[in-house]
Amino acid sequence: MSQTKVAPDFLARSTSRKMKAFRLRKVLRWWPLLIILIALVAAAFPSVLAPYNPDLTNLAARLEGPGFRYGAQHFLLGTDSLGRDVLSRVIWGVRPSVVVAVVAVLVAGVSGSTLGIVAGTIEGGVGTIIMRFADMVLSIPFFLLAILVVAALGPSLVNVVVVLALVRWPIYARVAYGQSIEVSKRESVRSAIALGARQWRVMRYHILPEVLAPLIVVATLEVGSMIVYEAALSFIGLGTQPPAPSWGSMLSEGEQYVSTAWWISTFPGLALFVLALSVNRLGDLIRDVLDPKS
Amino acid sequence: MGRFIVRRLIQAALSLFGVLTIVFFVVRLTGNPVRLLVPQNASAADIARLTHQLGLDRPLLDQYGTFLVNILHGNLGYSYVQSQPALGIVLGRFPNTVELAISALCFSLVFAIPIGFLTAYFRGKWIERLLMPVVALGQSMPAFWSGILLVLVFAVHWRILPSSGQGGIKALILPSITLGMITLASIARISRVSFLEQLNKDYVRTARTKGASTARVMVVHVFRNALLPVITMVGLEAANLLGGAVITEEIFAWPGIGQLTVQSVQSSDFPVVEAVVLVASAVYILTNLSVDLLYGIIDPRVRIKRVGSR
Repeated sequence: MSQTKVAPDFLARSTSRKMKAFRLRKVLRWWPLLIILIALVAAAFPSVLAPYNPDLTNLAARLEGPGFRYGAQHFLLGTDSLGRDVLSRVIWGVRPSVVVAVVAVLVAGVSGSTLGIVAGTIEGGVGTIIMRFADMVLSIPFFLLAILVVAALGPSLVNVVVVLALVRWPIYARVAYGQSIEVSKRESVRSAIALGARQWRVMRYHILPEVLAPLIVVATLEVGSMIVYEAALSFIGLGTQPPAPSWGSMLSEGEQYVSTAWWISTFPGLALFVLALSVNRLGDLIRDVLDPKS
Repeated sequence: MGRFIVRRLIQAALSLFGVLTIVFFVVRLTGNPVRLLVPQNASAADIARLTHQLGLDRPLLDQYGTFLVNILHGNLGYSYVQSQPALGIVLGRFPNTVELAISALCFSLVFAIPIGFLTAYFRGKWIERLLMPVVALGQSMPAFWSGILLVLVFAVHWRILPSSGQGGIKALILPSITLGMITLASIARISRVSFLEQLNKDYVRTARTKGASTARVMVVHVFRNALLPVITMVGLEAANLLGGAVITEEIFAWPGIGQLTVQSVQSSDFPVVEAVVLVASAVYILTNLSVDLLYGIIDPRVRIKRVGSR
């Protein structure tokens, strides 16, 4: 009698322990959110987090390695060729990356999705023209197109946002188009049309909610790419203009000192890599949640 | 098959025309290039004269017509800096980029396809758990950082490979790895999905029940079918390679069109940048055209489906 009592109790405890471990692992999978949160805080309040002024030069402390002390100052990640604190510049560099990536994704995502839904819902000429145009934009190697446009408009952060939005909207348009063609064939949408719903109403209340999930996944993954492309444009001198700190321009400066001062390029690169990795992981996680089949 | 080829050719021609149009209007609508040509202290009259001389004061559509006619004659304008035909400058640099891109593609295929196969075949085993995070890391690794790190380790620290320039196999290694990393992750992912799909197919079980060895089933049956989507992916990745070449060539001082792009942007040499974009787009469109045609030849279902769906 007592044995039959013990067994289920033991079993219950072991499963609850397993459940706890399982739940813990489920929570830990969301580590990218923590890093993204830190990045957002750094982008919002860089002056609070950064130990020093990122533009403060100190020619007596040029190209010093990580952990260098100069009087009361302590340069945790070393200094660059003008004696500026690398850590402070890395922290201030979060802002252009995050702002450019988020705004570019919002602009490209909203316009691309709208065009894609319109093209997928309205049959005939308009839809075909929109999607043909999207295909054409996609058939230009987009980084080269971006370089051409920024070079023509003049280098600045606003232009980088404009350009990234201009070359990336077809990605969303394609996803939205494919999905809304499928959705608009459904019984529910057809009956809405039969009941006399106007076209914009069908798109807004019947199609958009159905196509939103894949678009959110694409948008999250795109934030990761846009962070890298902002840095790439800054790296070749078309994004953030020096002396304003940005990871891309720090990498390009650090590249010149790679044989003598590895820390100048290594740390902004690491920051860029970790942030891009976190955003990409978040995109994968969101996809798993929204679409458990895949 | 004939209809499929014709349809695909028309599509490619339209894309090419679209690219020309987009490039033309982007450049013309973003300001008067004459301002970049003349010295800072040039008078308004000087600017007007040069504008007229270059035909930039004519109606936009008129200029567009001239632009198209010139392109049909292979004339993409003259470099502002070198006073040579822009097309010639670009084509002179192009073989170097092709050399780098092909070697990068080989590097990424040699690693990506085995990774894709192993993670699919050993699904749920430790091999998958080990390799998938590596793929995820590779996907987020920006080329300009991995390039600098490679230089740091192999050229600065160990001094076994050159850090820049062109010449010999040794100089090709680091740039190829840097550029190949960009496509490695996405090709590995696609081939994993493709292998997974094929491994679950009925014909695999049939072949096994007939007594074929695992190796034979894999090589003769699975690989042949699974690699088809990978071919398409390679075509699509060509754009990434051309874009990634800009950064990679800049880091390794590789004299291809990527480095040319950066140099031309820095000296405001627009005709050359324009020519780079046009040539690269043409190559990209033609690559995808040939991939599609090749695909149609290898896999008859493709051409039947596409023509039939009209």
